Amino acid sequence: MVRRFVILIGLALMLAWGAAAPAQAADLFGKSDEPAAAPVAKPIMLPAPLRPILAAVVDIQTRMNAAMRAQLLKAREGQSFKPALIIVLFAFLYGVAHAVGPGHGKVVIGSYFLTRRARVMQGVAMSATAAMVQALSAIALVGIPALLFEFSSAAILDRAAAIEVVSYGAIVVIGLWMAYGVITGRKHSHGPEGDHDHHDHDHGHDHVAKHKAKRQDVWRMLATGAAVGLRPCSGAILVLLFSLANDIVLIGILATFAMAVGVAITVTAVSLASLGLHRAATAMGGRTKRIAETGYSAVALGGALLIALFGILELVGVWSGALTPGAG
Amino acid sequence: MRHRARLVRPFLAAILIGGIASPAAAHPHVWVDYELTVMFDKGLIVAMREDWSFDEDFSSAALHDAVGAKPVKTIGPKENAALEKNAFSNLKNYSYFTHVFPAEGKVETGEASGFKARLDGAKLAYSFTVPLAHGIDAKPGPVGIGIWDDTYYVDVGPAPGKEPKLEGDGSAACKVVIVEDHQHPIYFGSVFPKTARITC
Repeated sequence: MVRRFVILIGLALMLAWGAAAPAQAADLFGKSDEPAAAPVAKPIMLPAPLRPILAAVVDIQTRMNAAMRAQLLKAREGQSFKPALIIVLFAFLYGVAHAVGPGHGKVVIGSYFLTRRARVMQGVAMSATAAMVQALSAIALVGIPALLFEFSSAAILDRAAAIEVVSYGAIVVIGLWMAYGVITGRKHSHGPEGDHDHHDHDHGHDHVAKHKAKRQDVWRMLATGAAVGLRPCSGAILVLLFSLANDIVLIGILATFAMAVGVAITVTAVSLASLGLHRAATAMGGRTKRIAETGYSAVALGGALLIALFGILELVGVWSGALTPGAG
Repeated sequence: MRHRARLVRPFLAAILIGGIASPAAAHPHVWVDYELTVMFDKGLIVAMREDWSFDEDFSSAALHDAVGAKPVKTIGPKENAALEKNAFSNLKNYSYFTHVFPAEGKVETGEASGFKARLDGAKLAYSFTVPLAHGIDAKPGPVGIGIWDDTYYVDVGPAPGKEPKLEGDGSAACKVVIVEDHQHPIYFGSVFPKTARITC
């Protein structure tokens, strides 16, 4: 079963890699070589109180980026270890800040843990594996073309953009699939993350599968990571491209992993916060089991639909030109 | 059946987490500091001379993609032509990010001329002139000239400490200041681009 998933993920990756044909070629300014789309009449706006926060995050990122580039150039001169250490530290902090901005799966991971029963370790493991494999995939995305000597920054960013678009489609399908599952009553199989606290149902099956489930946990994490690789971290891609162009690849790779640790911390915080909210809500409403079950289904359905809607919005955004694909 | 659902769900979740990167996520990716000179003729604004200085990251990527794998130390005619073709000319489709707002309406820009690239240390810089479709008069009301990318993929802003200049016949009577353009917010409303406001 798990093996089939791994193959599936591999296929998806290859598809995305191949799909990055010049169909949607973006230049170094993230622009296609066609006349600009008509300006969007009403651009998507954040609620007013959130705008300064996003602006501040952008500002911090901009400063960090500049500082990191300066250190990378110093490292190229090759005098001492100090620039390399500073880069790794910067990359870590950058990862934390970078993941605060929109993206990095916070909406979906948040929705997921907000509307489903899950364990704390699953929140941590999912976020951490996600971030790590994002780093690995960035290294592959930049490294494979570089090894094949077909390295062009624009082409690499293009490929990352295509992979992104593929994943939005997947999100829509998955959101709808989750919703379908809730509607057709699969809610009673709580999934691997279910707390086994509803013993009034027939759960004999669970106990038989317990040992198997443990082994599958490891595989599940690997599968999680591989799936996450669909969309590499843009911050990492940029650092890698820059270090490759300046012949300091090793430092680039180190910085990429440091960045992943930073991203993991932020995403974990979001997943744990969602998980906590879900538990608090269930604890409050869980007095009567019947009500709790009904409520659980309704919330899970809402979460699934939200995830699908989010995917649709992203796709519409890309197609209408409101959002630019390309290394988000 | 139930067993299958158990396996499927975390797999779905994993794709979700990985897949959901908003393309707007980590913008911007390219930084440009510009110097702007507004060109006048017979009292009308007719063109903008722009000098863009790029971040080191874009600089090495552009040189690598446009010119080749070898480190570029100086930019000669060959490199200049390659950069113009591969890392500049397409901006025509985006009006070179240059937005011109007369007191009423909007004026289109034409094709840039006099493209010249140079290297300031590790930073690549472009200078070029963007003409206006027709001259505009700033006497009836202030004219705004801003340089920004609507998608915020590129963060374009005036170079710190470099005020925009006015040049040419009829410019002496005019003044220019940099203001934040609250009419055209970008990046989900969180960023107000800077605009040169010209009054005569």
